[in-house]
Amino acid sequence: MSLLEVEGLGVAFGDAAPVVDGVSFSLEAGAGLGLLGVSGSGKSLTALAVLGLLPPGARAWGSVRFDGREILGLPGAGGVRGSGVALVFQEPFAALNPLMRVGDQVAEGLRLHRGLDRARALEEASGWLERVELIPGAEAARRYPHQLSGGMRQRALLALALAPGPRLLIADEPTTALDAAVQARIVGLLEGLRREIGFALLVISHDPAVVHALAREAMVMERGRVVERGPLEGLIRDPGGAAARLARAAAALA
Amino acid sequence: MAAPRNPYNGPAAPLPGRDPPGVPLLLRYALRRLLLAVPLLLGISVLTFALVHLAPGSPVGAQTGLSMRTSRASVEALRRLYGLDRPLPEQYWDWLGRLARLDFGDSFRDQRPVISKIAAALPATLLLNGLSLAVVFGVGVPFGVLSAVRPRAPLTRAFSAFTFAAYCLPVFWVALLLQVFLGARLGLIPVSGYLSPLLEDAPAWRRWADILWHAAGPLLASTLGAWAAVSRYVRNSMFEVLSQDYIRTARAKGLPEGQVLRRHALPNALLPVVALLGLSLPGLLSGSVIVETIFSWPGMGLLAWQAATGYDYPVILGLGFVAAVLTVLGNLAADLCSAALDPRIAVP
Repeated sequence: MSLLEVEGLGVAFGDAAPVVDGVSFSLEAGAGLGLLGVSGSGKSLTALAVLGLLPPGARAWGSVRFDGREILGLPGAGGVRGSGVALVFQEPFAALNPLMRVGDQVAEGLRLHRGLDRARALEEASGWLERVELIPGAEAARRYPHQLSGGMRQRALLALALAPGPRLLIADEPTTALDAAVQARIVGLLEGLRREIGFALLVISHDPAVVHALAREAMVMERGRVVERGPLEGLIRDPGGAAARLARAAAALA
Repeated sequence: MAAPRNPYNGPAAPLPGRDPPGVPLLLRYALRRLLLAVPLLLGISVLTFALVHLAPGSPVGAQTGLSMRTSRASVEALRRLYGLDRPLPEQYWDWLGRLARLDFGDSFRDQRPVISKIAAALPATLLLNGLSLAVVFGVGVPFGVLSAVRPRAPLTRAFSAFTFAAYCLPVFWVALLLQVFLGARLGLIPVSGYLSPLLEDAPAWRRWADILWHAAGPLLASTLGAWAAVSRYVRNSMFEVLSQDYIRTARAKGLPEGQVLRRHALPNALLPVVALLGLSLPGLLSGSVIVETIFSWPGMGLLAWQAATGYDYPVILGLGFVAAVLTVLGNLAADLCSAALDPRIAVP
């Protein structure tokens, strides 16, 4: 039994044509999978649909099974949010509550999912901040988000996502908002943590290089449908393929 | 495209050394703002003084203009009595000097000190506007939150329709309607006044109950439309916050929706409301001319109306200056509250 099985997933806004259509994939425990595509191809909506976090007005159909249990359409996505599946988003600048100290935001998940009291949760949150190289962790925990740089905030978000011990991390364009140097470090950090902890990873990006650094297998989405899937190295070698086009587009800018 | 060794891997940069502003910083900021308020208030005092004296008509005219028997000599005598025969700058300087000693002068109408007239009017206004501020925010904020969270609920829609209708009506008209229908026709509320004359020697609780009963009309008139404004403001703020990424982060964390709203959405959505509350503070004391006049509520608004129509310069100037001071203090209070609640506001 796979950790995550998605079958025939579709998303539409109102009565308009589906923006995600017939997406199926599965992910084994500890495995890595890349989801490639240009902006608007439906990758992010696919990720949001898995956890039931679609924006208002959108509806999803199909099947999403986590650990063998159907969670699509369940309120709070069947209680897997945070503890089973964690999400890291693209925008580190907006993804943290500006009025709450970073440590409290990381600790919140620990209190919720592991039942720790405030002091214990804060202590562990500091430890997690150190693991994502925000050092000293206790100092980082006292900061407000605006007092950290973009790369630091993305690290804090990683700590926030990983602290409760999820079995799957969905990273949606985890480095897109950051400059190339910081981007490389975040990818390196994510890779290291995965090797150490062993969570499964679904990495979503428009950039084959980012996906390549984190997953061997990938699928490519175009206009809401999966058009290619397989080992990324092979996909990129097919010059007429969608993955190769994305790679050329990324290379054209680099 | 095997990933090359990343030259940037290695320990992260040290944390930038910034800490949130502490209380001493806020205090210093408050003191500096108060000092800066002095030139501002001086400017306001010049403007109010000039405006009051430039307005057509004069206290002497108001007292003598209709009487054919007033001689030129007595008009002149009156002008001298009020000090109006001296040059305007000299009058201003004189007034400012007394103001510095908190002496607002005496009323032209009844020769009572302006300060005691204001002191007599203040409690009624404070009571009425304190109540109405509490009602406006007490109703407006929860309803604004509700209408952002449950925009389609029937209760939300009914309240919206009602408050918007009320918002569109001019206050003076609502006040008159309340007076006529609830007051005169149905006898549910007193038509006007503050305390029934028969109750002046009654026990305190009895008098208070009577005052509150008298406050019902002016309270309704002044709050009906304001609910809509505040709830709309809160609703928009809440809508905006709910679409922020950090709300998605909080939901993705697995927090129950109630906690997402309470701990992440509400504090952010209420920040601008705190500023709005601070800006409403001056109105709390300066009173509403329209509502107080219509309901004969003996507060600052009624006093201002009587002073303005009677060319009672010292009272007008005194009220104007008190209002200016309150506005400055209200702004400062709002800024301090925002700075204390929002870590992003850097206190210079």
